[in-house]
Amino acid sequence: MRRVLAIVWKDLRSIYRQPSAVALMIAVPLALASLLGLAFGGQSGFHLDPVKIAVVNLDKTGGGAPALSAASVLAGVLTGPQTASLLDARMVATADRARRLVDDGEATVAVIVPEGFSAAARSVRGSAAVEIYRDPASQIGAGVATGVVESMVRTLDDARRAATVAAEVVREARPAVDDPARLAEAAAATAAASLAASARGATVALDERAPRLSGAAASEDPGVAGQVLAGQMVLFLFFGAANAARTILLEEQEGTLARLFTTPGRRAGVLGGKLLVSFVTVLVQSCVLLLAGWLLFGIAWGGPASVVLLTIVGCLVASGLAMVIGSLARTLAQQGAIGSGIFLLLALIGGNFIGGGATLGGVAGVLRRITPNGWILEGWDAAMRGGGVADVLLPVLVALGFAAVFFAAAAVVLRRRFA
Amino acid sequence: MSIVEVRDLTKQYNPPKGVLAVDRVSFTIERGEIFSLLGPNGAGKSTTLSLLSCLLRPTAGDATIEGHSIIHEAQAVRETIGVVPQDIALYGDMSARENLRFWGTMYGLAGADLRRRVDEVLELIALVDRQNDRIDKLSGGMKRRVNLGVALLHTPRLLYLDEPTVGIDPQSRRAILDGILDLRARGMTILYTTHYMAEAQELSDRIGIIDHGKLVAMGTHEQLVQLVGERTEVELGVDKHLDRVKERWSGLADVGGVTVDEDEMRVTLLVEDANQALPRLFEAAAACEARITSVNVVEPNLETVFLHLTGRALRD
Repeated sequence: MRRVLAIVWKDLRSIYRQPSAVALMIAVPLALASLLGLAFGGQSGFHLDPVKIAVVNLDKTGGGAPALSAASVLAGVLTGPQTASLLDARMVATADRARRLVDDGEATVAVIVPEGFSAAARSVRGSAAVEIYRDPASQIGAGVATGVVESMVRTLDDARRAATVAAEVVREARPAVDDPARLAEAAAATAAASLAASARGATVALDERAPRLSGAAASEDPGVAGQVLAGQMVLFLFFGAANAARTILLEEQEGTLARLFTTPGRRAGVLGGKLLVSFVTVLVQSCVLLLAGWLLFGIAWGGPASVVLLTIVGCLVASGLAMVIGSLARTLAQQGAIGSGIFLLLALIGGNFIGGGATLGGVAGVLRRITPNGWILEGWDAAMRGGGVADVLLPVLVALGFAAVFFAAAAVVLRRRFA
Repeated sequence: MSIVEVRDLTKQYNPPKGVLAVDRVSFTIERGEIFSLLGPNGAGKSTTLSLLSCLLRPTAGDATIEGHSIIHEAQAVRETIGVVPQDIALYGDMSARENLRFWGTMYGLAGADLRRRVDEVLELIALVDRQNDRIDKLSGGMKRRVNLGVALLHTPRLLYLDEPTVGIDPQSRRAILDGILDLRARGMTILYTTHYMAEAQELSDRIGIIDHGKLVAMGTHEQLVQLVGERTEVELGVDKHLDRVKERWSGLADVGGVTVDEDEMRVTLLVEDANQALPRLFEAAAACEARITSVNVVEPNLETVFLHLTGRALRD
């Protein structure tokens, strides 16, 4: 055992003495997490400042009381308190003025309500279009503002359709249209038609999903920094492990591996030491990143038991995979190229670049689960949301299965290669 | 009992059609002896050492080290031997002392024993002053000395040295050769491989000549030289028509082992009696319209023996 520990200690010192290796394993993931965390508003989650919009109401033909004017309702909603968290709206007098504000960068979107809009909204066959003049450089802000306006216009249009249906029912009612009983019947029919439309799924709804967790604080927001650093940490564990695994090839090339094999003790001990080097290297890397994430970004990684389990299984998976690649490669260049390709592919499929273990659905969600890193990220997401050991157990067990397969494969290949 | 007994040791890569690197080699080494394997590059010296170090598994045959089979008792064999590989096998980013400590641990040393042996070896290889310098920063000769020192840490009873003087300056070479003689004086058995005839001649109690994986001769320097018989090696410089001259001389009676160095315009051959042969050689050269530009009669040595046994010069 002393021989194995001597190999581990020697290699760890060698690895952590290389500035480039330390940069790759620790500085780069921290830097990426910092940049992405800052870009998305720090540690408390996704945050967007209200989008500046200019609203013009050109509709002078609404008729009746202003409160009943569709144009006034639309302008009122856009400038009112209901949308204040999303939109920072100001009323302007003319369409040109509104467009100029967008051109000058003082507003992201100009919403121009045309003349005759209210009349069209009340008419069965009338039509009118609200103009959205948007800054092409602003994708997110313009999208948000456009979405709000579209939603309002759709609501008004739905109201018009409902009225049209009611009018048709009343028109078809014979003989009298002014009979209160008939009108009540028509109203009931309109309600029934609306219900029927809802039943057919015409209603637009948001399907927001989150993992069902057992912990008391299961709804805790993991925050962007946590999500990003978890993804980057898992990805860079692969690179860290690969850096450690390359010592086998390096020692083979420099003749020290053959010399190690001439010393007393089994070859399995030397190769086992190398496997342990890879594991301990990424374990140190993980601990530093977890600590840095907690101290620098205030990331709450989760309960101690969950964190320990996920850290260990993450290190096992990374070191196992790196050893498989290292044992198959014949040269350092081969190992670097093949390893990087596989790691990045796994990261893309597993969702390391988007974080949020439980937010992927559909094909992406299925694909994520064919990768070990996808499972590990799912576990980290559950832990950061306050889930207990029971919530991370499945991801941990599946990832452990991956690690077992990787280690078995590496052991077989290394045994054949150095027998 | 011999410390090393090698019996029909064979190594073929990718059998049955692969390269036969070692072909039924047999020899023994007695305790306290320096035994050299002498042969040109690619002769099979290093492969033989790898087999005896349990790095490679023989295709056929076996060998015992202190009675332990290299096939069945590799662990016991490794505890007996120290190996100095041909290339420097050290960690460049560690100091000389750190390297010795690490390798000492690999050889099973620990605690005070380890510290004591590291200090002793540093004295032995005369690197006490540079013990804390990184290997990367040491000269080639110093690296060679550390490379040797590593194999001495556990005081092995049998030391393998695989061409330890390749590519180093004469002063370091001298220091290493003196160190080896000193180790022999302390009772260590040494298996030494080289393609330098002078080294083998100076160091060895016995020499095995190896070529194309076969051990072609074995014995003391004197015994090997006697294999040549009364023959004498003659080197002759020729001004032109080298091939025609070689052909003509090869056909003469009592002339053998004719080899040509085209770069040096020189022919080397063996004759029964140089005094009688030289006039005939001059005549034959003249018949080829060539002129002999130099004559050098060499006393029989290992080079002559190799030429006699293989028909090739050791340097080829």
